[in-house]
Amino acid sequence: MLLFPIAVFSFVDVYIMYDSTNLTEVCTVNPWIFILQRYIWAFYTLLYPIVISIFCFSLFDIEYKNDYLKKLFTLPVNTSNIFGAKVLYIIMMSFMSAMISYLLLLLSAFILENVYSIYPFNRYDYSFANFIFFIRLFIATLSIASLQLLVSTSFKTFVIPICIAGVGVVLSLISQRAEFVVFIPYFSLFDLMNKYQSGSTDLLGKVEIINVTYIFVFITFAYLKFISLCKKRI
Amino acid sequence: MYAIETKDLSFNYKKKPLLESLDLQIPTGSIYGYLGKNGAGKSTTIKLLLGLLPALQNTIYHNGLELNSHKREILSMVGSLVESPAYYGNLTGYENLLYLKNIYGCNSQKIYDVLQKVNLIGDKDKMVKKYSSGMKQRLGIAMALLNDPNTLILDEPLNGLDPEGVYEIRELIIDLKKEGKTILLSSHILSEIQKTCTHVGILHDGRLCYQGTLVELMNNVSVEINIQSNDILKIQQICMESKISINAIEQNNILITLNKGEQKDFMTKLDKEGVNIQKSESVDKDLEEIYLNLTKR
Repeated sequence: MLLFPIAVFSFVDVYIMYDSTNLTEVCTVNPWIFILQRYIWAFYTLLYPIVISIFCFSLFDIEYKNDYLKKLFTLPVNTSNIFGAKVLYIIMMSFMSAMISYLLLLLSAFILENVYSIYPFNRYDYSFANFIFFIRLFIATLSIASLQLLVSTSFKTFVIPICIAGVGVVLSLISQRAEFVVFIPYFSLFDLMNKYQSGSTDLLGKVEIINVTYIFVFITFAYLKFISLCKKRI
Repeated sequence: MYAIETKDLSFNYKKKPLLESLDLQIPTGSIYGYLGKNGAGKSTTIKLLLGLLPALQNTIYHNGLELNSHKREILSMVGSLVESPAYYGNLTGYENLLYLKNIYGCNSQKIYDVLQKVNLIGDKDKMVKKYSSGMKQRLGIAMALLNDPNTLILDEPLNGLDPEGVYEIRELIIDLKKEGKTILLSSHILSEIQKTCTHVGILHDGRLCYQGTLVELMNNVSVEINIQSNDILKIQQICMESKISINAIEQNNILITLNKGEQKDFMTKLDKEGVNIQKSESVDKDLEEIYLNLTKR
């Protein structure tokens, strides 16, 4: 999950540098939006949900595989602490992933502007919009991760969480104009870019409020599922 | 006080009774062998004792503390190995123990001590997924010992061990008893129970059909003695007086059955009465036969 932004930004930066060797004209549109929308965001909307689903599933799979849950429950630790540790880890990883993405965007902008002056990032003050963008990314990631946490406590195989991620992305993609689309957690990744393009710096829009609600609802259901699952597996 | 005590402990699974009115009494400082065939309810009992399965209030006590109301306190004093050992395969043996050490909050030196005890110190930096099944079993025991527990609950700890490993673990269990620890040992290997345990509990179809010391169990069982003598009539008379059953009489041989505990007294009595014994042979029953007899009832 942490490697994903590093891989995407490195790949995109190398590609832009390679592609820019033939370009002489200075970019006339906002390079922040241009770089994110044209090169980077496709990876985040299509691949990132799958990475999140694998990450969440692996958090439980390691204990399912080795029958470690039984051992955990013979230790003087509460079930809620075990589940809480997993949720905390997801929150930390989601936050770090969003922050790494943010820092990598700034680094990419610095490199591209200084090495190839065709991208005038300094001409546009987008620092606040960028920051809000990645805070929104954190909320969206956490909402998707919470859903995947619930899915991972319900199924033993990683195929189903990945399928759910795939269906969620496709559904968000094909029903972008429908009213109900705001209720699909995966849509928030598409919505992020729309708001970034329009320059909106509102942190808590309708989609974000729905996402925050989802985080609490999914985590609560995942906890209840985790308790019942542990009893069954023992 | 008992290290572990259950009072009228019952457990049903899908309305089928797995355990019925179990009154386990495991004395402090003993090695308690818990015997029973597959499906008798041994693992269920162990899971109940560790709080992995729900038990009714006031049915399970560890050192006098009720399990449901003192669960964390009890679990910090108990080490366990339930069924197959659980571990993180992508971590080394040392890292697996380090993880538990952080949960228990014990000393780092303890990791080396338990690795030394189970003879895994040389393989501590090897990934556990590369361990043999015997090494995994020994790591499981090391994990159970890490918090320096008063009570150790080991479910089939000898599974997957080679003869050398079985010997080492047996010696380790005996050493732990000497340190004052109480050990509940569930096993199918009756010969090991006979060599290791001081107390035995035999479970059959969810009910405890014997509980007591191993010595009592071995003494209360009958033993067959074949005596070769010229005074068969005198022996016959003594047997009738002592209410000892005679199985067969053949020329100078008499075959009798008596409790093992009475064997010595009976032979002394024959000696005192001046019976000339040419030869005597006793056929002892081992734990396996005793176990089979008890569970056939």
